[in-house]
Order: sequence, then C-alpha cells, then structure tokens
Amino acid sequence: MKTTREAIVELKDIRKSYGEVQILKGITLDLYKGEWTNIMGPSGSGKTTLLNIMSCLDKATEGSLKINGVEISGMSKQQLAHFRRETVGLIFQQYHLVPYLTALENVMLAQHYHSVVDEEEAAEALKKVGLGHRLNNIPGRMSGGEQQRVAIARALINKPEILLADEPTGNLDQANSELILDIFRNLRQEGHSIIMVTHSTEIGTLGDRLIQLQDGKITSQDNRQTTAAS
Amino acid sequence: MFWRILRKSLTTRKNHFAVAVIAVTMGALLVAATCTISLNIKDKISRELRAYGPNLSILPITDAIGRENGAVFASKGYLMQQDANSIIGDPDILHMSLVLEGSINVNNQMVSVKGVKFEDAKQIHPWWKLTGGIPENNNVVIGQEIAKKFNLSLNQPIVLSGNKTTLDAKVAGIIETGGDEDSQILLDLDTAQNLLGAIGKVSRIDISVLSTNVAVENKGLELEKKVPGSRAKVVQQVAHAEKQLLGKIQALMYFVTLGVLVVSLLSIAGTMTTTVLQRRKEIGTMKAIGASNKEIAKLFLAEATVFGVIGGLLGLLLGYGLAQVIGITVFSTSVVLPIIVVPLTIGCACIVTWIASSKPVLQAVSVEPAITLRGE
Amino acid sequence: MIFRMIFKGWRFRVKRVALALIAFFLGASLIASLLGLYLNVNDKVGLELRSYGANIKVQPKGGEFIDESQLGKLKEIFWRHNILGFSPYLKIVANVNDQPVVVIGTWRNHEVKIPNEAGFVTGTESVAPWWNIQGSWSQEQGVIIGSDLSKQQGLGIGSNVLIDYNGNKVSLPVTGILSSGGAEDSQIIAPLQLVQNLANLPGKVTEVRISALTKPEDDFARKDPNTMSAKEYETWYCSPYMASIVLQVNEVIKSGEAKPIDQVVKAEDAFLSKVSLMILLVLIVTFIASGLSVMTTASANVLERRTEIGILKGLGADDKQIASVFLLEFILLSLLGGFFGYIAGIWLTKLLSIAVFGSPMAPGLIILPVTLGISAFVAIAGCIIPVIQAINVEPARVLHGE
Repeated sequence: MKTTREAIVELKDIRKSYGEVQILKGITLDLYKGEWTNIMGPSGSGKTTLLNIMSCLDKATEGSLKINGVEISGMSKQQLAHFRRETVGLIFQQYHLVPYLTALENVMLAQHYHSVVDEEEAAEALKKVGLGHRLNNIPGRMSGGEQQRVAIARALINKPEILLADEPTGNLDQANSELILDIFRNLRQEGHSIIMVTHSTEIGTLGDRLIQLQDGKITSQDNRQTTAAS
Repeated sequence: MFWRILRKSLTTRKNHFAVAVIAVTMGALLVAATCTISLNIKDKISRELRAYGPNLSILPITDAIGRENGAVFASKGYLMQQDANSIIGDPDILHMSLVLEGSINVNNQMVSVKGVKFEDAKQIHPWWKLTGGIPENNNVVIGQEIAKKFNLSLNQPIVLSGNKTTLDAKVAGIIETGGDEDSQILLDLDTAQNLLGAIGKVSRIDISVLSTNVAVENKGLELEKKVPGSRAKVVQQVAHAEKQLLGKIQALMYFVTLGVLVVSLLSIAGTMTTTVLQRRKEIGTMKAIGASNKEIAKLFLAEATVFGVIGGLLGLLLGYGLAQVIGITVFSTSVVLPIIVVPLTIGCACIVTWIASSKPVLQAVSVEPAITLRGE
Repeated sequence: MIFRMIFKGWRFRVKRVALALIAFFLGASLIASLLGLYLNVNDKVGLELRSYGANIKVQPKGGEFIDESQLGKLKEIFWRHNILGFSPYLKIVANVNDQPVVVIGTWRNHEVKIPNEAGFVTGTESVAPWWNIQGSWSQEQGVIIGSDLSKQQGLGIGSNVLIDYNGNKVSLPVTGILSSGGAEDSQIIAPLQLVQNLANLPGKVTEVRISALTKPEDDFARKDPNTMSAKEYETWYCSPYMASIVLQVNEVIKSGEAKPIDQVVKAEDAFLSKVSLMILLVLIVTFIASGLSVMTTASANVLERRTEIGILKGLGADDKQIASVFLLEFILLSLLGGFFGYIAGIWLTKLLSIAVFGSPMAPGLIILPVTLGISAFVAIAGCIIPVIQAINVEPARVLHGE
C-alpha cells in the first residue's frame, strides 16, 4: 500500500471566465501521481474547461497551476506548447486523428513535434494496443474503437507525465468501450497518471478518485486511497 | 422570413462574408480599372502624340494655281487673320499657331522671317529650345544659325529692314528647333505684320488636331470650309505614324484588358467555389429540417447576388479610382468613366458569382442530408 | 514528416488544392505576361515609332560636305543592329522653267556595301516612311516631284522636267508625285548620283538622316560621359541611349557632326516612358489584386482546417511550427503554379505581340525567376493574415466543440 502520494497536478484557486461568464469559480485541488482520477458533473459544470486547463490547452484567468512542480500560470503560449509536448498526452471523445495520415503516421506526427521521428518505436506502440495489422490504414478505414486506440498510442508515445482523456468512450459501443477501458486499466497498473472526464457513473467508479463538479465548484472530492493492486 | 434568413446568413458568418466580398471586389476592381483605361487610351495617346507637332496645315489656295515668279520658299498667298480666328475653340483642335512668313533685310542680306504668337508656337512645337526669353516690345528671337552667321548673342541690337519700315530690335532669345527656324528670325505676329506690310494677314495656320474622334484628313476638309480661300494639308510625317500607332496601342490595351478580365473572373469563381464548398454541412442541415431544394438554391443565389452586387460596386469604385491614379500619374490628365464599364463590372461580378456558387450548391443539394451531417 | 503531411494533405483535399493552384497559376500567368510586355514594349513600340522617320541628322563638320563613302561604316558601329536605316541628301537650288527649285538627291532603296557582310538596303523608305508617292520612283533615271510643284508647273507623271544647274542641263522623266505635307511638296527628288553628277560633286552630300532604335533617356544616360569612370562609361557606351549612338556615329562619319532630331526624339522618349509606366502600373495593380486573392483563398483554407490545427497544437506544435506548415504549403503551391503560369504567360505575350505588332517578343530568361519570385512573394504576403488566423485558433475550442 502506498502511503506517500506525490502530487502531480496542483491547482490553487483556479478561476476561468469567458467574458462576463464565469465557468470555474475557484478550484483548489491536488491530483496524485500514479492515480486514475475521474471528474464528473452535469453539463455546464466546467469539467471540460478544467480538463483543458490541466491539459495546457487553455489558460486560467486566475489562480495557480503546477504540473510536476512546474508553475504553468505564468507561461507564454510558446512555453506552454513546449511544455505540453513534453508533459501531457491527450485523448479526445472524437479521437481527432489527422484524417489523411495512416495510423503509423499519426503516431509519428506526435514524435515529430516532440523530438525525433522513429518509425519502429511508433510501430511498437501501435502493436501494444493491438493494432499491429492496421499500421498503414487511414482513420476512415478504421472503426471508432480502433481510432481511439491509435489516439491512445499517440498520446503515450512521448512518455508524458499525465494522460488526460475527455470522455474517451463517448462515441463507442459497449464492446469497444470495454476494450478502451481495459487499456486504461493496464496503463493505471503500469503506473501512469490518468485524469479522465466522464458522464458515466460506471466509469466514475473505475478510478482511484472521483471528483464531482457543479457550477464551477468542486462539490465532492473522494479521497479514498485504493491499493496499488487492482 | 426569406429576407431574415438571408440577412442572418450574411451577418453571422462575418469572416465568410468578408472573404467573399474581398474576392469579388478584387476581381471587379481589375475589370473596372483595365476597361476604363482601355476605353480612354485612344484619347490619352492621341494627346501625347501631339508632342510630335502639328499634323495639319491650313494654307492659302493661291499657292497652287498658276505660274508665279518668285522664290519657291516664300509663300505667296495670305489668309485673313480674322477668318483664322474663327476656328479657335473647336474641340478637336488641341493647339493652333498662326504664322506669317516673309523676307527682310539684315546687314544687306536677305533673311527669312516668321511672325508668330510665341506662346502658341512653343506649345505646338514643344521641342523648341529657346535660350533667353519670349520677346516683348518688338524684340526678336533669332535662329541659332543666324546667331552664328551674324555673330549675335543675347541682348545685342539687330536692325531689320522690311519693304517700307525698319525695326530696331534687340535679340531677346536664340532658338534651336532642328527646322527652318534655325536660319530664320522670329517676331511677334503683330510686329511682323507691321514690318512686312501685311496687317491682318497670315501665311498659314499650323494645327494639332486631336484625332480621338475624327480623322485628321476629315478635320482638314471641315476647316477648309470655315476659312475662306484655304486648303488643308495633312502633315504626313506626323499623321501617318500616329494612325498606325494609335491602332496598335489600343489593340495592346484591349488584349491586356481581355487577359485581365479572364483571369480576374476565373479568380473570383475560384475563391467563391472554395468558400461555398465548405458549407455542405449547412446545406445538409437545412434539408434535414425540411427546406426544399428550390428554397436552398434560392438562398444561395440570393447570397451570391449580394456578393456580386456589393463586390461589383466596391470594385467599380476602387477600379475607377485606380484608373484615375494611373491616368494622372502617366498622362497627367484624368480619365473619363465610360458608361458601359458600370454594367459590365457589376454584371460580370454577378454572373461569375452565380456560376461559381451554383455548381457546389447543385452537388450538395443532391446529396442526402444524413451523409453531410454525419460529421468528419 | 512535414512534407509527408503536406503532400498527403493535398491528395486528401485535391479539389481545394487544385483551386488554390489554379489561383496561383492564373495570377502568375498574368504577371509573367505583363512582365514580358513591360520588358519588351520599349523595343516594340520603339520600332513602331520609327514610322516618324529619322531621329538623327548629320551635318557637315568643318566644310561644306559630308563624305558619302563613310556611310557604310554606320553598319559597323557597336550599335549597328539599332541603325535601322539612313539616307544621304544632296540639296541644290537649280532652275526649272526659270524658277529656282530645290532639287534633292537621295536614295530610295540603295544597297550599301558592308565589308564581310551582305549588303544593306536602305534609303528614304526607312527614314521617311510617310512619303506618299503616287506612281513610283525607280532608282535609275526618273525623278519624283512634290505635289504642289507638280500642280504649279503642270508637270505630271510621264512628263519630262528640264533641270538647269549653273549651265548643266539634264532632262528627266517624272515617274511619281510626292505628297508629304512638308517642304518636299515644292521640291524635286532625284537619285543621288544623278544630282551629284549634275552639280559636279561626286561622293559628296550635304546631310545624312538616320533612323535608330534607342532606349529612352534616364538619369544615367544624361550624365556627361567625360565624368564617368571606366566601368560606367562602358555600360553607357553599351546601352543604346541616343547620346551614346550619336557618339558612335560621330566616330565613323568624321566629315560630319551628328545630332539628335529633337522633334522626333523628345516626343518618342516621353511616349515610350509613358507606355512603359502604364504597363508597370497595371502590373503592380495586378500584383496587389493577386495578393488579396491569395489571401482570401488562404483564409478560407485555414478556416476549413481549424480542427487539424487544433490537433497539431494539442500535440505540442508551437506558433512557429503551425505557421511554417501553411507558409511552406503556400510557397510550394505558388512556385508550382508560378512555373506553369510563367509558361502560359510567355505564350500569351507571344500571341499578343504577334497580334498587335506582327512579331513575337523576346521572352527574356529573367522572367522565369522574377515570376517565381513574385509568385512566392505574393503567397507569403497574402498568407500573413491567414497564418495569423491559424496561429490564433484556440485548440480547446476546436477540439472539444465547445
């Protein structure tokens, strides 16, 4: 059983407004390394906004954000982009693969923006998610589940500190959802830090923690610690 | 409801609206500018070519009839100055210069003289090089050969003896023209008339005819009738070359305009097609909520018309402005907007926008809404 | 990787890319065509302007006459190909029917011997192309008579005219009547040799008129050659400025002094400069319109690819990297379109030149790099705003559809 928890994401009084509208009204939260944290809440609660901020895709209007001990809030757009490529891996509900590149090339693209393209390494990553036979297919020729798996391989290729997933099974049928969640379980087992936004209470219970959001504020933080073994 | 949809459609996607209007305006601008220039070029070139000098002479008829003794190079008959003045103000005449020719005595040598109105003469012969100034008070301008021959320079005295009178004058200027004037003495017309005893008479009228609207020969025939006892002679060196040149420059500009027209219109078509292509999803949505093909087509056609008209008008204004700038920069005169350019520009803009919008719309309209709505 | 992305992207969006390519092609062909026109119009129109006749005249220097034998050397000077024609004149005042009449001896179409080359045929047809001759002027014995003189003396085609010069008499047939609207209308024009014999002045002429193709004067042309450095002088000498050609004429016709004929030269220079300027301005306007056209196409392109941009940003691409993808794409398209546009433009200019001037224009190899350069420049300039738009795409917005 782990007794010391290392914070990987530290949010202090994070606020986000778009013009007059305040989406996040002061979020203070620590997320821990090696844990799978789920964030749930009704539509408009700000969960996607919170995820965007933690993904370094968007900047908070006020407050401090530290990832892996590094203060994000003061970073310029350029610094943010560089930080993002080193630190986070993103997975979206709509997969967001480049439609005219093959599975292999989609993963290689992530390598390109990080450091160096390595075709063998990319192929390995795809094989690991069971897509060894789909290397040269374009997204249009793959099922939703397969596309999401490519997206996961892509998110992992640069060995990010955190994986952030926005309703990764939202567009998938039951069978494929299971496949994807299985992969996440394995990743959790391997020690990856996972932050996921989800609608489904079922999925909500799969992780180590469940954060509930309503109206831009945290309404409940489940601080239970699960054992390392699942 | 239709107008509201149209208005909303145009105002909400400001970016798309701006892109389409700019594309049409640019094309229309080029069309308007080049058409305006082409249609003005004949006049502009015609004016420029007046720098070569007079293209028409009006001479007395008496020269040609019968045998007369006397030097061949002095003209024999006269025209009445007041008759000559009757053609001033003719819109096709750009410059006019009255000339009186004769011979007088200087230091016991016969010298040819010309009486002219100096302002007119200089204007019609812009290459004349005058050192010194235009004479006042009966002073004279001498040709450079005369200056050499009699060893005269500026402000020196010179005595001219005519038939009955003598003139004590000073050299106010020395002229170099490359023509007869280099070996002549030039005086003010009135002074010359007095000296030669030919008051109210002129030997000929040099005219620069603007050949935009009329052929030089025909103008000559017309003027012959207005000035009694005259005949018109076309200065072939100037007129013949000009006719050819005008035709070619005009043809050149027409071709350039045609090229620009084709390219501009294709360019508008291309950009419009690009912008419409990306609205297939929108069309799918409209069909899904029950809009008929006819209604969709109507909306897009109306939008295209708005772009065509607004872009066409803007392009027309800017294009005309541009043509003005070019006209003034190159020719120092303004251009006239030929009426036909207005419907041509706006018409072309509209037609092209329609055609460009129609193909993608037709394609989209025939596709099942489900396909376009499924998302990419 | 970038190139792979760009080319695969093109295959995926073939239609849009084709449209963009066509836009560049059209713009480039117009620009290449206008450029070709601009570089050549001086020569073509300059040649047309030679219909105004001679623009250089040579008068005797330090004597009464010019040596006819020196004329052949005119086709040996540096700018010999710009000497389109010349004609010598011997002007005497003779008596016809007891009346003093100016008789001019000159060439209509005379073959001048040039060492080591085929003969060069020239004469008044080159330097006075506006002469309207009713009938004909054969070079042998016949004369042509000015229209006014013809009426006055009652001498028409077929009649004989008796010319008396200081006691030397000769009777010659009138083969043509000349109307020019100038001094010639009261003169007799005869073959040069005939007049030289009549006046007993073999090999001598009183004036030479030359028609030369020149380049309009600019500030460099007007510099005093004596103040130029050796290199400057060489450039000046090797440019067909009027002053430089006049200098070269003086070098070979030592018995004469050459001067430009102001009436023709001043008007010609002004005219050529204006036509050139006009074409240049149309070129600039086209260039600007082209740029804006590219901008709208690029803008539409960026708009369409917002999601893709979001994905790249999500993967950590920074502003510079996003910008370079689009810039690179557009520069490649512009070069491709520019190349084909160049070919089309040159062909267009050729057609135009043949249609208007009856002969093609020299394309000038420089047009290719300039067209490509302008094309790329237009692509970059037109791209600026769309690239800024691309950089400003908010990844959060486009990736989550919020």
